[in-house]
Amino acid sequence: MSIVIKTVNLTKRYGTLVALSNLNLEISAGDCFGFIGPNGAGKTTTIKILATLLQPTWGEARICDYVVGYQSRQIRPLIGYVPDYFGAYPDMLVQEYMEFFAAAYNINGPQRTKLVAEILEFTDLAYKMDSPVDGLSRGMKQRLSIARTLLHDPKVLLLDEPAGNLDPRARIEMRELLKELRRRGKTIIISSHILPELADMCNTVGIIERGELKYSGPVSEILARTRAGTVIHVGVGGGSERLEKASKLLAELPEVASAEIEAEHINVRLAEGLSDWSFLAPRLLSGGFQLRLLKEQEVNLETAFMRFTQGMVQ
Amino acid sequence: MTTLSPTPPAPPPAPAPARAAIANNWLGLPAHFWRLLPGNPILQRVVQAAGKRRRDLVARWTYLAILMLVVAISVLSSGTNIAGMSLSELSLESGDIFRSLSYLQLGLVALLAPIFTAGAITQERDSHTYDILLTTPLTNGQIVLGTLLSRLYFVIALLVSGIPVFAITQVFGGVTLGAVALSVTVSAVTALVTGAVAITIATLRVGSGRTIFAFYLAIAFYLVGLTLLDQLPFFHPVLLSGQPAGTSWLTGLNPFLSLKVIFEERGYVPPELAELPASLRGWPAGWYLTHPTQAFLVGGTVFSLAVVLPSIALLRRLAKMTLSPTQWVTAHGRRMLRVQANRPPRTVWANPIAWREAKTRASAAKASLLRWSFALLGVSAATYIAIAHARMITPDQYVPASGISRLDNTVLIIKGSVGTTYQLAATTTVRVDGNQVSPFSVSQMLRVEQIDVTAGRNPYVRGLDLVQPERGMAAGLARQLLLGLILVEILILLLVVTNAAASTVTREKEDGTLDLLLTTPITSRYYIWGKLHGLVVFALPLIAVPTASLIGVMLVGFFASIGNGDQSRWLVQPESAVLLPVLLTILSALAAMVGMNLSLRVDSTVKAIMASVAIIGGVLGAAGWCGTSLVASSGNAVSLVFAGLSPVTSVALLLDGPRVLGTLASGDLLSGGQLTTQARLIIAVMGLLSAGVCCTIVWSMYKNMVYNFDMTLRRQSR
Repeated sequence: MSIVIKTVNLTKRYGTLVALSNLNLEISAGDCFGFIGPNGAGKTTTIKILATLLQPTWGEARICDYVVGYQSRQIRPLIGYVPDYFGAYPDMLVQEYMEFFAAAYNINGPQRTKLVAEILEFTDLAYKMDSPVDGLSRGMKQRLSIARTLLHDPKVLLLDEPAGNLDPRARIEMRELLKELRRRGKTIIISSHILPELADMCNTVGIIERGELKYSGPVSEILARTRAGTVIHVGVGGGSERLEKASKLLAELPEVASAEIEAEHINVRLAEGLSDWSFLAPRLLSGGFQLRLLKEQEVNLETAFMRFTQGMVQ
Repeated sequence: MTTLSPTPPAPPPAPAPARAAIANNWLGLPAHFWRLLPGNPILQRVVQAAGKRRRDLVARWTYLAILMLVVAISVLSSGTNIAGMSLSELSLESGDIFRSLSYLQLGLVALLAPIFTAGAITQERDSHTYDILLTTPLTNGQIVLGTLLSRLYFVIALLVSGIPVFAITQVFGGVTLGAVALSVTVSAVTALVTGAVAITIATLRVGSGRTIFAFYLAIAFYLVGLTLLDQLPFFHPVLLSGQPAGTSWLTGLNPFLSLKVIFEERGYVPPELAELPASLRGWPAGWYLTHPTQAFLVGGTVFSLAVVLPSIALLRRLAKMTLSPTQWVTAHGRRMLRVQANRPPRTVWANPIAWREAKTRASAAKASLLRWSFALLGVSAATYIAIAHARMITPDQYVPASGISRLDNTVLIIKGSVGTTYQLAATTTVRVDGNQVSPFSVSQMLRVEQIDVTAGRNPYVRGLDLVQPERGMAAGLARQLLLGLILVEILILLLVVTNAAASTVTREKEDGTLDLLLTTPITSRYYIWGKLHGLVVFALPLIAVPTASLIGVMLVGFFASIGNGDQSRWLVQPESAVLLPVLLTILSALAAMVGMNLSLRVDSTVKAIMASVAIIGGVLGAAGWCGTSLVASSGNAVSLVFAGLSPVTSVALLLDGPRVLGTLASGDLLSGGQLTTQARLIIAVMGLLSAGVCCTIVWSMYKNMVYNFDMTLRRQSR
């Protein structure tokens, strides 16, 4: 697949503060790229550079082969930007707000009204067409923001914390909307702190900390790298004495690398290369243990994030 | 047997805190007042910080430098060697310097006090410290007075630092210490009134840029409007002698008029109590009319207290309201009138930036109301001037419109309510305004100045001197009032446009919409042009008001003069109807560009508005003052050419040329109280040229803004 977004040694300094240091990214067409990192890591700076709002100190960013900062005019029709706040004109109605931005993209005449109606329908805001923008709920405002970015049918969507401060229902609606946009072939960069949702929506992620990219690649790959061996949680009945005996039994097995007690269960790490843990249950049962828990440890984006970052900010 | 434990002895009564307070410090009043004023933490914070701020020091030095400059210019321009002056000449010179200094000081205070006190309206709310202050044990009084005095501190410090400059006048004599004290006190009370009003607005309304604008507008009307209204005879009480008093009912309300009394300018002297009719001699009217300066000082202080006290009483209660008083009134008004809050969507123009500036600002209910009120007041005032000027006052003795009969060869002369018919002879001479005319050419009502009737059984008229009857408002006064009205309208127009322009980019920066626009294909050129275009379109209805006022008064005056055979004289030159809207449009564009430039460069809306208003007011006001002074002091064609380059002077010359040119005007500019063709030509050409100069400035500012737009925003994003 063709590369839509590419950054090479992208660096941004604010005075002496290095907000972004030699960022190298490649995002293919149709990807949904989740950008995760602690506060102040450089996510917003990266998105703002890609949105042509900031000039990099050095390095290069390209969108559809156009260089940001030099060919911004060509880039702007290709991108849709949703900032981490809702940029609202307080004295406009929803329809006026949409028509205002449609006019900014040179969409005029009768097609503008039709297009606005279609997009509001798509984002489920048609019934709010005549409402003042200021009176919308936060979730609706965020959907309106997404609707605004769809007016000129951009190839790339740059979404900075679109689900921040939304209630669970609004977040779910937002997630479904973004999934639909991905299905329609949009390339999406989304920064968020809600990692389970990113895992659900994104096929690639980038982890950034203190302006440095710690990881960039498919979600499946980062989960595999985080896993670093299979860990099974085992629980047996009969109190701590039985738990210790079970731990000793399991530790002596050749397929097990280690068995450590943690609270009321044992973390059993399999030997390198093994992932089949079906042998555990018969061994424990034959040893006279009552099995209460047998479950493989989950590895998700949160685990990966915690492993790749150290919680340091600028 | 159980033994009961003895009841523990009662503890000695603890001294009640209130009782202790009474015993220690007289109801705690000294501590309370200490914390209210000198120990007020809000005031202390400002006073302590002010001494360290470089900006305040620079402002103070600039203020003193301006005062010193005026003294130096006054001394140097006296034209005579001071060493060779007599004592009386020196005291006159000193009086002139004192007068200039006093007006300048009051002008600067009037300009600076709103700027420094207006910040109180929004600053606490903007910096989110307001709610925190309300949760502290500080009392309402401490918060309100602390904020008021901390805002006034800078202005009062300026006044105090200027006193040594005033002391220079004492070297030459001629100025009493009392007069100096009175002049400084007038300025201080002006600052106090301004500050009190600002604090009250801050307490009553949620602070915003619009609040500051409304505040400026109110102060401008108070200072300029009352000075202009003072010209109307209506406000001057009639004395026992039948003459109007030199001062008016408004003198005690306005600092400039109060200051005018101190200098007794052009007979601007308050009447003696004995000169007033009996109905006006009682207290307080008698005291108010005879002591207007003192009345201003007392009234200003009492007014300030009166407006601040409700703020103190209601501060926390108002802060708890979910709706500001204006929002509450609007919401209840809508409900009562059953007005639907919803409105149909408007059509967005192809240039959305221009649409936003021109339409969304104007259509807000409050803005619409203000615009319609502005138009209504402007047109009403112009209608009053037009009608008053067109109305003829019926003289004591006059010839009615059809009073001379060719058929009977008679003339009807009405005196009071009695009419007498006289015969005309072939030799009868009739003069109208000194020019001999045929008796039968008289077709309008004319006042009888003199009548010469023969004696005998059949008396006939030998000579009849007729003059135009007096109008309800003389042409000179009508022109003067029209000029005043239009200057006030221009002031409001410029304030509105400057305020709108100064908030346009900063507000978008603050609410984040600028970033959204910058990611669209809109270029900086398109963006700035759109803004300028939109702001000028937004100003057009406001420009229409003075233009309509001018055309209305001009046409009514013209037709009234034709109807009365008054040689069809124009009250205002007809070319002004074309030049005024041109000048106002260009001035609006200039105000918009200055406001937008500062809006782009400055990081907060309030700062941008204050700086823009100060620049536009300062530059146009100074240019207007220089131009008007130049033409009034020289009165020749060359000075008229240079003075015409100032747009405000051009407007003044167009509307009331004879008065602006003054008594020193040369014969080739002013003849018989009317502008000559040469003067009209110069005024018209220079008016166009000044519009051209402003246009060039606007264009160069526009190009410069487009060129620097991206760089400025980039620098700010660092």
